[in-house]
Amino acid sequence: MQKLIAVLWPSFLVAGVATILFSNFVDPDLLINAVGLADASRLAVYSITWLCFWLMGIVTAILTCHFLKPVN
Amino acid sequence: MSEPAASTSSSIQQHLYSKRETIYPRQVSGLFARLRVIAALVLLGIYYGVPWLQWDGRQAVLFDLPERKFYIFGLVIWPQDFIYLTGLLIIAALALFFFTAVAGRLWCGYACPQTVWTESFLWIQRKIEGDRNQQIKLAKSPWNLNKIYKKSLLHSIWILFSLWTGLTFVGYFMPIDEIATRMVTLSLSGWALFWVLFYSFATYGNAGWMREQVCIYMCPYARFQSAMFDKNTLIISYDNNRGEPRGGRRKRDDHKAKGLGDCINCSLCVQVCPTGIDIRDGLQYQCIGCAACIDVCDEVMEKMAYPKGLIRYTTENSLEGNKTRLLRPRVIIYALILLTVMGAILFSISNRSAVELDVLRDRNSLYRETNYGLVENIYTLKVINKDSVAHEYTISASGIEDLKLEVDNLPVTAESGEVSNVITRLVADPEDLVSASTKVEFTIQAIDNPEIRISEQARFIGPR
Ligand code: SF4
Ligand code: SF4
Repeated sequence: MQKLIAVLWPSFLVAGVATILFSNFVDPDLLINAVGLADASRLAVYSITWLCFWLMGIVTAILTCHFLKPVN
Repeated sequence: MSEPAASTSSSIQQHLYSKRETIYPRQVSGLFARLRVIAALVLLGIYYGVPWLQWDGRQAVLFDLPERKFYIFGLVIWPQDFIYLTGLLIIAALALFFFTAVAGRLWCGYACPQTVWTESFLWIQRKIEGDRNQQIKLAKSPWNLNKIYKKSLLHSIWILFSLWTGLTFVGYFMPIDEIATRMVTLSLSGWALFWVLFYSFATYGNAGWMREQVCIYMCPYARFQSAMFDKNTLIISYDNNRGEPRGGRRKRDDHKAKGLGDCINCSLCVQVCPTGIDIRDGLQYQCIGCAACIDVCDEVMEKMAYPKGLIRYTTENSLEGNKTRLLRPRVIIYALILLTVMGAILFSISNRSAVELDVLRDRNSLYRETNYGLVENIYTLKVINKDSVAHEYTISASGIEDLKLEVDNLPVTAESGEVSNVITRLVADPEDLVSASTKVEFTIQAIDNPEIRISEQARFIGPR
């Protein structure tokens, strides 16, 4: 359980900060145009951005946990 | 407060992987318990109430992410102003440093959302399952009808309360009346629904199940607050000199003659502690400073007719018999930085430009040659009126000799808080162009107030 927290929680925090910074500089409307998703709302873009960041953080944290294990 | 020393860090690590014992904090009454309840009610009232406030026919506080505009009562904050939000976060962090240095974990005990919602959830649990002993008994009892009934009632109410909390949270970012109606009619969908459920789940999990574990394992602040502590910081502490040696006794015994201290070893202070620690072991980083142990021990002291304050708010210095200094370099420095940042932000908010200009080049073509052999570039000017009244603006452009500016509807008008999109054509003689891309500058100016003006640069593309 605590291991799960250690993986999910820090990546959640960082994803939040990253999303805020990212959407501060990039207007989601431009992204929507660039990707060509005409019907995506800005909220969807924010949410997906955040989910992607979170996912990346989770993968990193899992790898860290994995590498922390002793070799044998 | 000392960090867990190296020797205890391994035991904490073991703790990390050992199964957690559920803590059933005993209810307390007393001065600090009352203060805590008042603080919780005020904060919950603000949290659930604010999104429903109206201002000028719109939601008073709305962080409108889809529109990229933040409304805070009369103030409208644009993406260009997000620097102020960063400033606000810095102020919040500095204020936390300041208060921690002076008053320890006051925030944790009285104002932290984790504490406030955990207390609300505990209150609901007490209403349904009874006091601490009854809760423990119920948890141990086999699954009979009574237990199923009580547990499902408890979790239903917790979940409803969480859903309301999640709805309110999303209501800070989208119009709350709309989400509320769609929630009740079960027609809420997409990302809005996702976020309501997500936040509700987080509330339910954190306040219903994780509780003190959030403080101990997840809270970043709990991990580094000890860095702000010194010998003059207000802490909750057990008076070792007075209490030890602890031991049971009858009320009429002369405990001094028996060689006993004031602690009667009733363990009530442990039973009320929401993080399950024994304050008599000294200051520990698990202690969230809730003062529940103060209240309960004072009650005991009163019953025993001993002076109150065996556990009390104090400082390390005064426990050692020294004087407590409130104004010390650390506190003064925190305060100075805090005041400077606050002043800077206030100054720049009151001086921020009342109009904002964005220039976007036409995406479809680089340039066009007109019938008269001139070069034309098309731009969209976004004129953002950040003032509280409507304005009319003039537009001018410079940077190339004999540059002509063509706009269909002049003057440009924009209501307060409105964005006007203005299609603008710049026409120049190719003879006057020195390179394929020339810098030009647009300037807009309010007609009724020449001080409201702003310039923005753009590129003019030509054939060479
Ligand atoms: S509540 Fe007070 S008297 Fe009772 S065990 Fe704790 S410190 Fe001792
Ligand atoms: S030790 Fe006392 S003040 Fe600290 S968390 Fe426990 S009950 Fe609250």
